[in-house]
Amino acid sequence: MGKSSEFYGVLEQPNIRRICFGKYEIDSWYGNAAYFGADHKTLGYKKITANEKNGQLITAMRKPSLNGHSTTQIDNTTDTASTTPQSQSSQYWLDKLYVCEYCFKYTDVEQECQAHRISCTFNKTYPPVGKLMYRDEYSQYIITKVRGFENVLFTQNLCLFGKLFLDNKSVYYNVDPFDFYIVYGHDPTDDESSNLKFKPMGFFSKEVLSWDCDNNLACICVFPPFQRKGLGNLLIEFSYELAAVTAGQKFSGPEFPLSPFGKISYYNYWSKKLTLTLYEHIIKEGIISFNLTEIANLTGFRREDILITLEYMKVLHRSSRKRASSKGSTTKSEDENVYFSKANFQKWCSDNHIDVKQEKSMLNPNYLVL
Amino acid sequence: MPNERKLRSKDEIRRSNPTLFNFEKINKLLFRDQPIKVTSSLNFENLYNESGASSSSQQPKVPTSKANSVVIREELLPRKSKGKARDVPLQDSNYELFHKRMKKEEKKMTNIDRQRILNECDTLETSLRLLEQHDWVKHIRSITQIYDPHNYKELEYKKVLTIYEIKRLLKKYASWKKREDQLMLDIKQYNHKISHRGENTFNAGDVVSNGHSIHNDLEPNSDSVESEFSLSLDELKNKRKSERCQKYGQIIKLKLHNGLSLVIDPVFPPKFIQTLDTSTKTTPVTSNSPEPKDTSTEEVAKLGIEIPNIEPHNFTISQNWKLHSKEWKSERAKLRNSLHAKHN
Repeated sequence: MGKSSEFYGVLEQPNIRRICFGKYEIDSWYGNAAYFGADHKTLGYKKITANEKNGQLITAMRKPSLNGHSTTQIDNTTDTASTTPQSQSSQYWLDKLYVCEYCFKYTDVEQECQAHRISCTFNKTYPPVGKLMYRDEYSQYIITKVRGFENVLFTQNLCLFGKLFLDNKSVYYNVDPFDFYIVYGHDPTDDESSNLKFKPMGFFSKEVLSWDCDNNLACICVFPPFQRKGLGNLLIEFSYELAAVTAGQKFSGPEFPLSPFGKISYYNYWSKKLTLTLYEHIIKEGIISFNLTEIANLTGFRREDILITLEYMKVLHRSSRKRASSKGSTTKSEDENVYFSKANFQKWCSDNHIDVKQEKSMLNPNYLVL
Repeated sequence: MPNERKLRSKDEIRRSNPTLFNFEKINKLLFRDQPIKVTSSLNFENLYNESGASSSSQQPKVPTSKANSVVIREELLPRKSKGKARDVPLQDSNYELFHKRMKKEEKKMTNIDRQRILNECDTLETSLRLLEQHDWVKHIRSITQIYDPHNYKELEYKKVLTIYEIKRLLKKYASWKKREDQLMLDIKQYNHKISHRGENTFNAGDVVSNGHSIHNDLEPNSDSVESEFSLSLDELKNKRKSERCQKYGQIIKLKLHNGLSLVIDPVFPPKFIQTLDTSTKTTPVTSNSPEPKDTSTEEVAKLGIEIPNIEPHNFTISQNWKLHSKEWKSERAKLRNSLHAKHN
């Protein structure tokens, strides 16, 4: 069994060729087996409905084998229209998946989705579910909180859709212990003469029952049509603001391990915040030594996250080189000092075009309604 | 010398057992608050790189390389049908059976994790009991990595560390359990609220494993974003404040009579604020002290200093007060009634 197929729902390659998300047609970044029935061709809900009609029951969840086919083939239902011969022979299980941009309901039949979208009960000026947590009156972005157990189908479909752009997501249906924070905004490509509607552009989930209570975020996703607008940063900043008013989350951070994209987003966010904090409180004040807890108190970040970021910025160095022992192996000295280099810090700022006197932020704390 | 005789006890430390507590390899920057000294010299030769983060600056590749990865489709949507809502395609009920079944399967996986946590807690409790016994020396080697079992100082020191660590983990479990109980309560209350509303979309078939339906997505919600958009930002903030007070209790303002007051908010971190009232009158600390007025709130922004070591969730006085307030209220009502009866 391949490495990634050990995880439920995770596939090594995308299994849907194109995704039609509202008026957008996009590529999926990762595979999602959880949409499908055991035959890996038919959407699970269609498969199960067809089998129910035939008086048969199948267990839809089955881990895919390495070749992308289930070990047991159960297929006595009619294939749906868009399951082309091409998709059967290639890596794709489905040619196109149609997803409603308001409620994330999905189908493989274009007409069904189009007819649904115009009458969708979520197709409204304002999001019909959730609690408003952030209302930016200038940029017109809002963040709402939706509890998994209160809006089961909506959050399940959101998770399933999010998996297409996340490589290590593993919960799609058991949404009860999760809260979802969804960022909505006006789509700039929408016709402004018509009634502008708030559309979901991305989300992050927060596990209420995570073993580590300092996790302020489980997974984060900004949908491809709305990327490069700083929404990922907005959601990350919001997650820290939220943690600041959550019991037990004085120091918090995302759930580990981080995906490659998560790493880049967080390293960028942490390093920019830390640059400003270190400049304001250490360099400007002429402090000669500090510890990680002091920085954690100033930022709300976990000490582990601060240390990783300082390593990433290449501003920490050791006092001594590794000493060669008599037997030729290298050992570290016991009380080795660790230094923060101001010169390395300056180089980091100039290389990354960071002005320490300016704080750029997507989130305006005045618009928080926590 | 490979054939040299050696003590077995010395052998064991080399084969470090991952199931034992190991206090030998801890990061002092993280767990001992080791100071980081500030220098001016440029140094890229001897970088601190324990996690390997300094070499991971390479951008990951987006798994889609095509220029047409996001395309706007030209489409002509059909007219909105005048038919009944149930004629709209992709009804909730289409997904219900499959999603319900998948949820059940996922829950099985979650339960395995839950069971693992419970087992670990059992083991920790047993270890703690053994370490608190008089013959703890016999047991510590099966719980913690010991370098020299004949060094009593090491044993004592590691016993203290192990007990501290076990208690920390058990506290973590208690927090997890508390959150689980709260979630169960929230779900129960929500289901109760829904069933109380007597939604006509409900029927026995709709009820899923935890007792509520996946059909509840579209129920009208008085707290919906739409209704909240009609409020100004200040009104909305005040609404949230009163919701918070209702749920967690009032904000407590503790006058210190030295020009400062301690404001304890059940949600936000506690703060010192400067108060104009410098009278020496002793005011008893009560949980229903008034909230700081707007003027003081302004001062919080100017003069407020956060106290980093105080956790807001420690202050549960107001919750107790809220509990007792009902009793007191009923007592007062009884007293009023009896006085009224006497009067008449």
